[in-house]
Amino acid sequence: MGQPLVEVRGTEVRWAQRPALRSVDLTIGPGEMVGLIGPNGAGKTTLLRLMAKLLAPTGGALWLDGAALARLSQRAVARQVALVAQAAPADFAFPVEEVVRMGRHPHRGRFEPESAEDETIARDAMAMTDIVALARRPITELSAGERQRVSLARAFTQKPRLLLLDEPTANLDPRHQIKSLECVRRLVRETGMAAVAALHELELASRYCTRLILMDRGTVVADGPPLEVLTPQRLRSVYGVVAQVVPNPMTRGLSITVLEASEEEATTD
Amino acid sequence: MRFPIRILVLLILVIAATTAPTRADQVPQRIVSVNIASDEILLALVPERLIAVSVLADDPEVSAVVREARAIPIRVNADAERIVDLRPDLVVIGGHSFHVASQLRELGLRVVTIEGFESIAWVEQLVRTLGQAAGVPARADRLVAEMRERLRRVEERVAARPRPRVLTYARSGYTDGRRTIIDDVIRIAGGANVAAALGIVGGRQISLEQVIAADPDAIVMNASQRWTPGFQSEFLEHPALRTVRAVRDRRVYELSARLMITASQHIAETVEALAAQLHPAAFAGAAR
Amino acid sequence: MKRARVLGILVVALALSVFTALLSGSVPVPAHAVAAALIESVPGVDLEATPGQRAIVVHLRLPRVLLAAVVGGSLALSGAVLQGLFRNPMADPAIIGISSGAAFGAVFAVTSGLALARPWTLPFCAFLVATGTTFAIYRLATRGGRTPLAALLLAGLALSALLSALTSFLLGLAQNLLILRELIFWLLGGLDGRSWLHLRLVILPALAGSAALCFFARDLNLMAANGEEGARSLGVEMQRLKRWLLLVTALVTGAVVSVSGTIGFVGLLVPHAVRLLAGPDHRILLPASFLGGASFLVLADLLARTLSPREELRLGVVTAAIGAPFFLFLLQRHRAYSEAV
Repeated sequence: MGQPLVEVRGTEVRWAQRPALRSVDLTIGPGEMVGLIGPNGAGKTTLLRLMAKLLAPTGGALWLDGAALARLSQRAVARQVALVAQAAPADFAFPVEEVVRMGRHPHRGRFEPESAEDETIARDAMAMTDIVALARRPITELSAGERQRVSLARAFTQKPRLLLLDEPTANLDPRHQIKSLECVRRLVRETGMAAVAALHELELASRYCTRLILMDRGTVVADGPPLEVLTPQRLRSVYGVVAQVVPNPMTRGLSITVLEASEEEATTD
Repeated sequence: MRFPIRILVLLILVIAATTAPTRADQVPQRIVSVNIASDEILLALVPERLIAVSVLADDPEVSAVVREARAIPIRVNADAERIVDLRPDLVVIGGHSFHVASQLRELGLRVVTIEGFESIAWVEQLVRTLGQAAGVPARADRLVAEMRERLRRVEERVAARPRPRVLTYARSGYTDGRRTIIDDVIRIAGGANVAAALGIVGGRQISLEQVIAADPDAIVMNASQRWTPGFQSEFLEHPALRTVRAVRDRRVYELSARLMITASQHIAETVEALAAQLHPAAFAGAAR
Repeated sequence: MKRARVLGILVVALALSVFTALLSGSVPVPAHAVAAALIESVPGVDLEATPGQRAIVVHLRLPRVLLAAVVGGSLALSGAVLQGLFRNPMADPAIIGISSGAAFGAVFAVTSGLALARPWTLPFCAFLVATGTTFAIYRLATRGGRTPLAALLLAGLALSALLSALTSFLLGLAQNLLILRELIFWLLGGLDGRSWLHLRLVILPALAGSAALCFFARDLNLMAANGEEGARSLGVEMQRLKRWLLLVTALVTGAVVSVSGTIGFVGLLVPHAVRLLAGPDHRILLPASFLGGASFLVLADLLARTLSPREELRLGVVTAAIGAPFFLFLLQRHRAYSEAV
């Protein structure tokens, strides 16, 4: 890995005395597809928000492509980092294509009108997320899953170098789960974009991500290829379950079968 | 048998003294006035039996009887408890305080409410009614006669003169139309009431547009620093009013508030003051 | 282009409203006299207007109608901005404390006697307290450089409640019934007796502020469509945006409310109606709301002046009378829609 895209050093985040992240150190390089896994409250969302500069660390620092994140303007960050957090809110009836086009905002001046190139980028993003048919529909009429794909398309339109995804498959049906992650993987391979996805579905994570970062209670517990990270011992200690982990030759990921909840509570590593 | 007779007489006196007097019979000894109009009238009719007057009686801006009121020790407003505490046998109160009035009646007090305020004839009737209630009808008749005499004298002086078109104008655009005391005042003082001519009845608002369109010859405003401070100058400075004849000819008169709102025999003074403004030539040399 | 068409229609509507309003009033003035009063010096044109008619049209109706347009436009535009900022279609200038602040300022100015000093001291006091209230709300809600919208709402509620209580307290103390009546009239909103002076007082802050607000159309789109976090992830500097929007909105509404009194429903209603017609894109919505609000208030003021021959209705009452049925209509529509879905 050459120059890392994102560096996180000694970062901690405290919410009124309770730590959400404790001394996290990691780097993400271009072209990596990283899965961020861990139980609820592990700090995955916090880490993603830190990387998108939506949150400032109470200790430590982050760098984006060599520049201190704290010093960059929100706009400068938005030109390189896209975050797909929740489905786009649906209070106002903007048409889908307009919401997707908003992804170009960080790249345009305040009064610059949309260019033909912006149009094309947006169109491609909608094609990738399979929402071209919805282009003219107001976003208020869409289901949660459809809005999720709109958010994804919007992020693609930003043409980021780092794509952050927080539970991107949460509201999607299996077909769209696969398609979305496949899109991301393709973009990663074709453009050298880095992607970090917080995922609950461990099997999907193992299938699409070349690297998994397992978090628990605010710290990084394991970091490496899926087979090394998702061991039954880890699953027991972090998730509190007894499970069987087997490589799946058809998906080239892992098959994880949860057998039962373990007797002890999950313990910290 | 003188002893039993004495006892009998004593008994009768005691019974008479402790029995509540029949309403219509007794001449009230403790009169309470809760309204400036009745303050002014009662102070002229029965000051010796008046025990309380309204709080407004001491305010020179609205009261014509500040001096006379000094002889009355107690001040009162529309507060039922306070009034009852004074043990009155006659209460005179404005009709708008109907809650207090009905409370007092329920407690067995004799209450006269004042309502209407619609003409000088009404004022005369009020003086008579209060004179009757207070047991001095003769004095009331005399007061009315005096008032009429003063009015007659004014009417005489302005009789032959052309009547200027007069508009009264107060804060928030209120004017006096037909069926108001001021309407009569204007007429007797030798003017023509613009508001009445426009069909306005009672005290109503009039828009500035209507003021301009009516183009009165004279405008009468009520001058009171405390009650309508700054209003007159604000009105006169309004650029839209420059074309109005009254403003151009500088015939915008002020009468003190107490003259404008009085509803007692003092209305004669209002008529005299207004007539002197409208027809100065007729009153030149008169000690006004 | 859709935008040009919508705005064009609204400009025409405004012009028509203004003409109609100039032609009508409590005193009938024939159309040719109105024209004559307005275009006095066109050579060769033979039009007649009496000085009285000229005074009515030029000194009473014209400043009042223009003022109605400026006030209505500013209130509607501010409402649209706040609805986008709070992502709440129920937002209007009252939630940032402007109405209660202006009310208190005005009542205080009158009851303390300050209003007598100069004709502009009452509007000035109203403006000062109105903008001060927004500033206070902002400070109360800001912690560690962040201003959560929920905190703004709560601070707004709290401060408005406090100011309303203080205002009622002052009103209750008033012994002077005439002034009390006048204050109540002010609180119900109205443009009676307003002249060129009042227009001069507000036109600069209102128009300049409104133009400034239109600059933020794109940011508001981002906020409305993506939420606060979404907008930030697209590069919007949220704290700065909130500060600017609050400040300028407070300036604009504070200025107009200080001369018109508190008028409700314009900031709430007009953006809704415009959104129904023109969509949620703030690049159209903001200028369209201004134009729509201007027409609306010009016509509402016309009704207030001419509906009853005996007296003038309060402007706030007219806007409420129109606003309430409109909201019932919206409720019906919403219910029908959610039942169908």
